[in-house]
Amino acid sequence: MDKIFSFICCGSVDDGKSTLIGRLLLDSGNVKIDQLQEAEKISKRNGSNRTELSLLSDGLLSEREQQITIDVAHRYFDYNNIRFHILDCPGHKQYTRNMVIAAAMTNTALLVVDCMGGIQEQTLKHIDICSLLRVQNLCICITKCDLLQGDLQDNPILKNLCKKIETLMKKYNFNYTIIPISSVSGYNIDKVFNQIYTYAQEVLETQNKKCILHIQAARLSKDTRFYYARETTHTSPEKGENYTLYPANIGVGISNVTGHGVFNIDSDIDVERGDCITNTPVLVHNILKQKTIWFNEPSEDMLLKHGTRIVKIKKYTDDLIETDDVIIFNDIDDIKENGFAVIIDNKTKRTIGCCVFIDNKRSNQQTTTHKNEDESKKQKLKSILASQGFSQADINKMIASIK
Amino acid sequence: MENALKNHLIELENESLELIREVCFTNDFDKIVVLYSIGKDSSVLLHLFQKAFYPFPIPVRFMHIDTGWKFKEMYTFREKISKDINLIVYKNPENLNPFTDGSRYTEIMKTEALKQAIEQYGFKIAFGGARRDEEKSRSKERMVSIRDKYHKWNPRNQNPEISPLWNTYYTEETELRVFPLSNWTELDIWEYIRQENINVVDLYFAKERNVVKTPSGMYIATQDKHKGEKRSVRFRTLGCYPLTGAVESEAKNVDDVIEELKTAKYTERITRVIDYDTEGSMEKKKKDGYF
Repeated sequence: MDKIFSFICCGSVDDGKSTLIGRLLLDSGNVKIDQLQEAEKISKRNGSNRTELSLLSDGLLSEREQQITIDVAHRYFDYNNIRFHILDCPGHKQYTRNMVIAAAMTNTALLVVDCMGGIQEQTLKHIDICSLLRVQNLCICITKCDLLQGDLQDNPILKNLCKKIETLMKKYNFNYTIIPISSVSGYNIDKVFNQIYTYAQEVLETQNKKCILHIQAARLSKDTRFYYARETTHTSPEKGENYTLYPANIGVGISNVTGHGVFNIDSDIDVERGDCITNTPVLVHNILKQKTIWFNEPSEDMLLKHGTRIVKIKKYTDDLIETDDVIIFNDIDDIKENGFAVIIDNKTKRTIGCCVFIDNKRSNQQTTTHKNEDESKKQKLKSILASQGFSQADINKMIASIK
Repeated sequence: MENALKNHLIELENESLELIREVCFTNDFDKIVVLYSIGKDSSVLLHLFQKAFYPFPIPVRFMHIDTGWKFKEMYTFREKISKDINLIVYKNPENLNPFTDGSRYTEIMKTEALKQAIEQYGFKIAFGGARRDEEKSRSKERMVSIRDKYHKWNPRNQNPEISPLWNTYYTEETELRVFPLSNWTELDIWEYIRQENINVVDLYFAKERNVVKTPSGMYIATQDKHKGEKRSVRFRTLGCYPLTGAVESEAKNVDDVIEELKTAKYTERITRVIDYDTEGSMEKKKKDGYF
């Protein structure tokens, strides 16, 4: 296997997501005999004389009883040297939040639309979510085409639906394609495979040179400081390259890389959890232009987690969030992986929202620049004191007294 | 090329390391435990913990929930490993017997034992080596999964999880189970074991063993009860020997196992009695607090 490519499968409830996934798993040779036997057994008990392919993908008992998907199911299949990771999303309205999180993690979606039922309220909702979370590729599968009579090329229902979808797509920015399929008969399933394989190649070939390291921890061993980081864009730091430390805004060099996300830097600047070291421009603000999808009602006391930073939300409106400290991010249109955050209720510690950063680059936010300069001066002073042999504790005391 | 990590294994490894560190560095090490079952997934998990904190030692404790009915090769292996890690061994004093106590055995000696141990040591976060491809209810599992204060799993009451912005908080009312191997498959585990040269129990490799064939599978013959026959078998999963079936195999080393798995017609869980006693049984066990 060369690479892992994830995509979501979404669409309205009962439009045939799980059945399509069952078919993809089966045709790619990723279903084992015992799994098939179990599906056969349950199908028979449910009074069906053919094996329900959706049973290969629906997991929980309560889901099978109601024949709906509640939660994102993670499935994997290997096809032409690529590991495909499917995030099978719930179509039911009550579980839309689980569709949101899946869309945040991928660039590509399979969207199912029932040929008879057409575009539903939930279909539109899912398209909106895909658009907001900048899913670029949309493979729209018109499902259950085995139910249509006669020549499919000339079928009025199908033609009409395709026209409707094309009109709808004009409102959006997707790279989309429409494929009429039947998961039950296997009609056009090869086209679906080809399409996602093409998307996968396109996405995986654009190598990301941008490296964004969110510091998870700093630990001292004898005289050497080791930094542990999350590689947000899946790109590793390279020895000898020059980077910038934020929010301090100071240049640093990577002096050694000792493991995944583990490295040393060439100066004794104080770097701590929540800082960010990067080779690409990032934004450092505490007033954020954003759009939030709420999973629960917003509460009085909320935290925002982005990168490895957790800050308190001071104020929020539909478009703006103000936090008690800066975060180090990008707009979702610039670098998707660095373009969203989660909102956590500080009391219950539950995740209650997903916040997407939009249009911050263009907007003028002076409030945070000052803070940056202060921080930058402080860091420079710290490194001067450190070079004169003061201990870290003494330096911190001195800096605090300046305030 | 054989020595370099395959691309997709690097990606899987990276995700696991980032999750392990994120959970550990945002919580007290004392509140965290890694459930260690002596199986292949546990061996990989241990290796990942060593890598995650390198060059420092692993800062958290490991724990084996013992039933007293594991294969003797597993105890020997545990003995060796316990020199490298801070390992707690916990066994439920009730001491049930898998031959006579039926499904209550798993409930008391595994699920209940785990709950007792977590309470006794005051752990709030337990890492486990479960994978989503193992079983259907696991395919719905979060990487960071919430349990209530009675250690129960409610699939309808989980955090929406955007990996890698994992929510690593617990409260007085909740605790966490964390699964760094969520996105790995059985084959990935073995390819990783090969590439990183990780030690696993010999039972995973084929050897002439004395086994008894039953309708539910093929088991190691115990001297007092059965007269077995010699067959070349290996184990795809390890657990309590009376409940863990062997498969006929000629795979004598890691390379052979990988080749065998590429054409395997059945999933590994078919050899575990515990997962197949009734439909949806793993889901029920998880709801009761099994990891």
